[in-house]
Amino acid sequence: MNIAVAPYRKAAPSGAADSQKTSPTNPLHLRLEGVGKTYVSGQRRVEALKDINLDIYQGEIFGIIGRSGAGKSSLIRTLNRLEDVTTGKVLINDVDIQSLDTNGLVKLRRRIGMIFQHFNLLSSATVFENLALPLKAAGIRDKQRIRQRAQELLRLVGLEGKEDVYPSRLSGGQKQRVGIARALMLDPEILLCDEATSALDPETTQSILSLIKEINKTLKLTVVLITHEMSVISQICDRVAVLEDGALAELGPVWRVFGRPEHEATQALLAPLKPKISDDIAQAISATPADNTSRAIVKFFFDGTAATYLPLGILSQRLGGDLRLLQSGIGRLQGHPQGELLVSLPYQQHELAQRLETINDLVSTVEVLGYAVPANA
Amino acid sequence: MLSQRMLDALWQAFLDTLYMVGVSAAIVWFVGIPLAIILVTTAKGQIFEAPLVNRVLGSIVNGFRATPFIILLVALIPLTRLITGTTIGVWAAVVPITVSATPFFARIAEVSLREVSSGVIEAAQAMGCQKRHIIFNVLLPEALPGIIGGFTITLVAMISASAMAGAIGAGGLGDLAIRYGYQRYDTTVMLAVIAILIAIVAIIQYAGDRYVYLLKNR
Ligand SMILES: Nc1ncnc2c1ncn2[C@@H]1O[C@H](COP(=O)(O)OP(=O)(O)OP(=O)(O)O)[C@@H](O)[C@H]1O
Ligand SMILES: [Mg+2]
Repeated sequence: MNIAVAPYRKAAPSGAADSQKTSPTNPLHLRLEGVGKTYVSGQRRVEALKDINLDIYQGEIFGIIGRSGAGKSSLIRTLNRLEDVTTGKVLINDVDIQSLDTNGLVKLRRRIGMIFQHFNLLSSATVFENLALPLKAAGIRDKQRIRQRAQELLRLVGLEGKEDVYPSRLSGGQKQRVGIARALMLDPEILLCDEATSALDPETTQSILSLIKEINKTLKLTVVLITHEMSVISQICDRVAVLEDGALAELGPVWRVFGRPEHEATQALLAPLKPKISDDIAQAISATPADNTSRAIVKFFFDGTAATYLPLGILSQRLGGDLRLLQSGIGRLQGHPQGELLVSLPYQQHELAQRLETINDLVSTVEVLGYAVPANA
Repeated sequence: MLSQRMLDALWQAFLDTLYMVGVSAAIVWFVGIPLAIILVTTAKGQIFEAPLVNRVLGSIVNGFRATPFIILLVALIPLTRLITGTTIGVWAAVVPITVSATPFFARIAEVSLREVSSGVIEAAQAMGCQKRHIIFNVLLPEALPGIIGGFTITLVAMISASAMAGAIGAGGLGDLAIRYGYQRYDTTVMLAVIAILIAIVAIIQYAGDRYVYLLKNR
């Protein structure tokens, strides 16, 4: 199969200027300043984080993606000082958390809930005892109060009546719900999720995501989450950071990072989501038009910066009206339609490029893939 | 058949053995577990990381474990005299049995404690647990099945040690077996002693296994 080298390719200016408009207006919650982390084990030194600068705002759901070993877990673990930074600072509500003593650190951690890929529940304790632990550790002795709080949270996560069950009797999704309830027992202001849905099936993942989104809204929590599943990011995150080899590769609103990934690492992570041109069309395409009746195969790409809708009528009109839709993959991310349209239109020498110029304001990228006979496209 | 006098002697020896092992077991439990906790928590990367303490304590434990019981039995006679004021009888046997079984149990308990998932410990740290909470609410409960299993093995080893302690006149079933079975060729008594020892070991092992099973399957 040989796809023609695109004879025409034009990209609209990227949406960089527009990031100002979409940056969150909420107050600052977490700030990372030049954070670096180097693990030293014997002779080996691993630079897991390099000069990370990042602001996370109150009430947002902030996603972190990156290849395996990119430093995601290291990053999220610096936020509650499960790892101490090697260089730089982590500020939470303007307090440098490195300056906290043991007591201050314990108090800080009580304001930060965390959930894990493997749930990390006590297997020797019932659901209720698991939920009671953070309160006991915080010095709350009032049995009545603990039980009441546990019931409240079990109701919130949809596990009423499971107080006296041991975790081994629960499904993965139920265990993660207990994990979430436990993380919320002390009414934290931040929730950290390290691959919280990676061990769950797609359906359970959906329900856990809805739950996280719901508590983010109702409890006004700031959520920082790591995931390998791009769909998780596109479903619930407001902004996303891409880590590559310990450095911050890309950062922005999800629709922008996903719509027009600029860093190679982001593109690689998103590649599986990209629609493939179906085989029959790919085979019908040739590099040069056969004759004057040939049709040009054109890919329109929408990165979501152009408009809140795609004016198909106008598009077709400007291109001469005879537009055939071959394949489409338009989705909507945070109110921005984005994706690709594969269309064919009559090939007329000299006129094609001119015509395509007229739709610059509607489309982010135009790419002529090649030509095909009318019967095929 | 065994005479009434022999039966009384067997009964007395049985009680002595239970007493000896019971007292030793209590000491081994209450000394062994803290020892195991120190060994685990002072290791590298753990909550009370202290490599020197860990290494010194580990070496001492290993030293006692490497010494054969029969040698401990003799070597500890001065210590036994110092603590109990005598070197014969039930109480005198408690000292060598305890000294030999504690490091053994501590090592087994250490393994169970070390196997507690680091994720669970981390979750506890992340929710603001202090170190003592982690020890009492996470490490110990999570490792309990393994610790109980290890304690069962230790108990059985202590029964066998108590029989050996009979050789230095500690009393109990081992003493009886040696005095009658070995020195007077009274096979009946010896067989009776062996039967009783088998029964005790079987009961302890069954009870231990049962408890571990219940802990693991709740
Ligand atoms: N405790 C540690 N000691 C030494 N090196 C470590 C430690 N933890 C992580 N690393 C190293 O730091 C780098 C980043 O690890 P990290 O766990 O943060 O990656 P990650 O992005 O979370 O990966 P994954 O997606 O596989 O979970 C890796 O090279 C890893 O080997
Ligand atoms: Mg990770």
